[in-house]
Amino acid sequence: MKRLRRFLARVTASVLGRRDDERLREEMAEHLTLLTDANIRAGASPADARRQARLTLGPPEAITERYRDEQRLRLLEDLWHDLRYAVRMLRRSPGFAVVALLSLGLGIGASTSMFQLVDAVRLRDLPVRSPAQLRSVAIGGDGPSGNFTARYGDLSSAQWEQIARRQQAFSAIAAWSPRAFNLADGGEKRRAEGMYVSGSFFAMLGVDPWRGRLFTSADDSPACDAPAAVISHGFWQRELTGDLSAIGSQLRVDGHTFTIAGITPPGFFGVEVGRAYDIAIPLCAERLLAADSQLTVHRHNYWLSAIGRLRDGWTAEQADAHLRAISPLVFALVSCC
Amino acid sequence: MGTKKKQDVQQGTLTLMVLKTLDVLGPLHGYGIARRIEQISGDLLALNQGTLYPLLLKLEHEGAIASDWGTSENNRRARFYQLTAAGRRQLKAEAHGWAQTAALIGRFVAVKAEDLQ
Repeated sequence: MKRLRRFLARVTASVLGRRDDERLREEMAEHLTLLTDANIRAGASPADARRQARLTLGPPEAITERYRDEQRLRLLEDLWHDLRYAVRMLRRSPGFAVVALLSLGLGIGASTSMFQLVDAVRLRDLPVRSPAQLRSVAIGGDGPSGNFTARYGDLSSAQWEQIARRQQAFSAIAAWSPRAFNLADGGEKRRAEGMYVSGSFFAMLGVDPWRGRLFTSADDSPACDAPAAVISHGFWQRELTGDLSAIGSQLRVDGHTFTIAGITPPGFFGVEVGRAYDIAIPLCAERLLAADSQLTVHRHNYWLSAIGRLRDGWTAEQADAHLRAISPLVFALVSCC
Repeated sequence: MGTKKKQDVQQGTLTLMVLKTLDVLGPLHGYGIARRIEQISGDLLALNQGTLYPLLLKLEHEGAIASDWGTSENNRRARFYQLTAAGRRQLKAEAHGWAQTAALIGRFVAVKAEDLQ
C-alpha cells in the first residue's frame, strides 16, 4: 500500500513537474521582495537592499535546477530499487515465477501463429478445372482460440478479407462455409445442403454455369441488397422438377427471399467429396440469415475455409512462404480493428 | 577563536528545523519559516534561504506538510505551510534520531585517553 502510494505520488509529481518549477520561481521571487523590503526598513539603500536580499536568497535558477535533478535521480533510484525488489520476490517464490513466465511466453507465442498452405487431398478429386493447383489456407502454429462453428472452420471473416486483399500467391482465392438451410416458409422444415460462398468461388474453381449465371463479386457486396442463389443440377431436377423457368424465380432460404441466378453443371457437387450441395448463397447473406449468430461480425468465429488456385509459376513452397510473410500484418490488423 | 565560522547546513538538518518551526508556530509562509530559523540559529547558519522552497515542495509531496493560500501580516497573498499528522510523526522520529546521533558523537568527543584503558 505504501509502495502504491509512493508510486502514485511519483506519477503526480512528474505530471506536476512544470507546475513545481513555476511555483518555486514564484515563491522565491516573493521571498526576494520581502527580504528587500526588510533590508530597506533596516536602513539600506534600495540598491543595497536588493543586492543583500539576493545574497541571502541564493541563485533561484540554480536552486530550481538542483531540485529538478534530485527528483530525476530519485526516480531512477526508486526504479532500480523496485526492480531489485521484483527479482528478489520472484526468487523467493519460484513457483509463481514459473507460472508468470509461462503465461507471458504463451501470450507472446499465441501471436506467432501463421497462415500456411495446406495441400488437402480432398481438393484433388474435385470435378473442376486443374484441381491439382488448388490449395487451402489455414492457421498453423499454435492456432487461434475461439468458436469453430463450421466443418471446415479455419478463418474468421476479418482474416479472410485481409488475406484476399493482400495475398499474391494465388491467381484466385475463394472462401466458403457449409451450412444446412431450411427451405420451408413456416410449417415443417425442409432441409437443404447449403453453403455460403464468396463471390469469387465459382470462377476460382473454374466452374461455368450450366444455365443462367453464377456469382461474381457484385453478389457478395457489403450491402448484400440483391441476394441471389445458385443451385445444383440435382437440386433443380429434384425440387424444381427440372423446369427452366426456375431461373429468375424466388426461393425461400431460412425465411429470406433469394432469386435463383443460375444452375451449376450436372457433375459439380460442391467442394466436399461425399456430399452434394443444393443451394449456394453469398457470404454476405450470413448477416441476413443469422441475425442471432452473426458469424461474419465476430472476429473470434472461425467459420470460413479458404481455397486458392496457385498462380502460374508459383510453387507451393513459395506460396507458403508468402502466406507466412503476410501473417504478422494480417493478424495485427484483424486483432486491433 | 576570534571569528565565528558559519556552519553549512547538513543534510537532513534543515528538514528537522522546518518541521519543528511549523510544529511550534503553526501555519507559516516560507519567508516566515526562514526568519524563524535565522532567529533561532542566530548567525551560526550559512543558508541560502531559497533552498527552503525545494524542501517545502518535497515535504509537501511526501505528505509531511500541506499548503494553502492565505494573507500575510502585510496583506500580501502568500502560501502558508502547515504540519500534517504524518509530518508530526516524522518530526518525532527525526528529532529522536538526531538526539541519539548527537549523544553518540558527544560521547566520542568527550572521551579521554585514560577512559579507554
